[in-house]
Amino acid sequence: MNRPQERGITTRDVVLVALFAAIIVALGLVPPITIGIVPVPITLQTLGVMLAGAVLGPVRGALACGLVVLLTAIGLPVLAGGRGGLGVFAGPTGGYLVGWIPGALVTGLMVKYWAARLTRGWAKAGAILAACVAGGIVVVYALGIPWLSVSSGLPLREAALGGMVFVPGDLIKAVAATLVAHGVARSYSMELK
Amino acid sequence: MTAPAGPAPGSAAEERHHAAEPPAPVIELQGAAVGYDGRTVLSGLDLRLAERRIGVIGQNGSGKSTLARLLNGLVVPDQGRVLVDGRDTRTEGRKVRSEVGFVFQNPDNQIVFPIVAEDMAFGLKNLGLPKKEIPGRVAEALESFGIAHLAERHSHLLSGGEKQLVALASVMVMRPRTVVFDEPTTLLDLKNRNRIREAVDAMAPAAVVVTHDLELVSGYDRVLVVHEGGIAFDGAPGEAVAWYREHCS
Amino acid sequence: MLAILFAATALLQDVHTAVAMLLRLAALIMLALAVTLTTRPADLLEFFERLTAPLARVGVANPERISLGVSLVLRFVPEVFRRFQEIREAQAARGLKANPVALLVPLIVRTLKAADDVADAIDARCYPPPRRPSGGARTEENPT
Repeated sequence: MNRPQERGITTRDVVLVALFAAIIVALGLVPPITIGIVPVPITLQTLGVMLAGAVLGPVRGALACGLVVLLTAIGLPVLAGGRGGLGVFAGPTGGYLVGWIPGALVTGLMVKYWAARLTRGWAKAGAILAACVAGGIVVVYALGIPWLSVSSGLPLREAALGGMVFVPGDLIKAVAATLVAHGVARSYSMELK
Repeated sequence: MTAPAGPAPGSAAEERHHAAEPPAPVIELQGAAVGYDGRTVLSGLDLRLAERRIGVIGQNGSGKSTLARLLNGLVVPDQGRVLVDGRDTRTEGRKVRSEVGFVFQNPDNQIVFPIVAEDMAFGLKNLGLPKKEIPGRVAEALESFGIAHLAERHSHLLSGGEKQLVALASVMVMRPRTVVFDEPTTLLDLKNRNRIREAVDAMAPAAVVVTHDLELVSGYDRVLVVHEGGIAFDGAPGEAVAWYREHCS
Repeated sequence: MLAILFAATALLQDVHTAVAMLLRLAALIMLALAVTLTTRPADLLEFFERLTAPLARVGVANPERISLGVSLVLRFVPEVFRRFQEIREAQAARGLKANPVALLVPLIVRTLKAADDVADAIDARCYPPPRRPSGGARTEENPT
């Protein structure tokens, strides 16, 4: 199909962002998976966040997460467990949620400007994994834990320890995201924006 | 449930109906060629389309879907140009699209709002129609296809046939002068295929129907056969279908 | 999450602090919930649109696009979820265990492919709408 690469945000970009946001919401409807070695059942939603950056690129990935955050803000039950509304932002997970946006941005930037330019399979996969961890875990927690500390009144260290319980599950998600991103790129190549 | 899309033949209403038919725009392709990834999809197209019912048949991969998208400017030719009533699709695409409607193969990808009435209103909002006129136009369009009862239905709960009718209605509500169809019946079962065929036959604007449903175009004014990126036959439906059967099946 | 926090705090400090923390969180959440429950999503969305309107004039955010985006999500979440279930059933029918990776790849690929058609369908109906005549000339798209 004759599709020129257009600058700026095109209709196609809006659709890609919205459809990916729909994927993130749909992932929240899937019941959490219990894996023996992980203390907490893992939800698939943050997997969608890592993928938003890795598949769509930094800007569109961040916008997709932004759209989900907006839907949460207007009260729709789009988060895992049917949660939604401004209450989420005031609660303990508010920072994690808002952190999705810079998280997808960082993952997207690392995939677009680093992983995509590598040619050897293993190096590329490693770079994507690093991107998912950096964006989906480090950045998200960097916003999630201080927010948790502020909203709960817990000192930072206690909040951090409480938050750490989710790290093993998130690491598994990062590996899964890497595999999915690789699989998607093989079936359908798309520019990263 | 059959949808009588149009007045009974021979009635006074039919006369009025035909009188209300908007004149078909003249679509001209001048030396149009489209390439993609280094290969040519369509080349050397010189056509003047003005008939009320035009069929475009061809095998998968022949380029007929790209040809359909040239007609309303969704795809712009790499060489040559496409004019709709003298308007170049490259520079006046938006105006062209307000007069040339497009119905896609998969209605799931065409209905973009969660509630049918909202989706119907979308095109009218884009045309800048005053807000208070929109509900009336939407109701009128839904009525004409016999689907007024679907106005408040959730889009994802519609059946395949209902979705295709809603998709068609959402284009017709904009009162285009011609509508291009890209494989309107391919994904439908027999009953719904007939429903859509009746709806297309009875509609007031002109139609260009791209399909490989040969029966669909059998009564049309003109049928083109697209073969390997070019127009291999251009003429009466019977002969076009015969040519197609001989060379493409 | 709350249960984990309570347990962690109770263990590390004492139950009093843990309870106090919970109450404080609860108060914050209640306040925010009150706003959400008494306002309809459409109104809240309009509120956000008006909030971002000054940004739109500067060319940063486009309330029209945001509105379309929200509608698209609401329209396609049920379809995406249904497709997800179809893929899962198809894989179970072939005797494959539930595997998120094998589930997500076809789901995402199919969604990306659909995006092209959906975008075409939107453009075909003359999107975007004309800007409201508010005195200013139509601003250029803000390239990103």
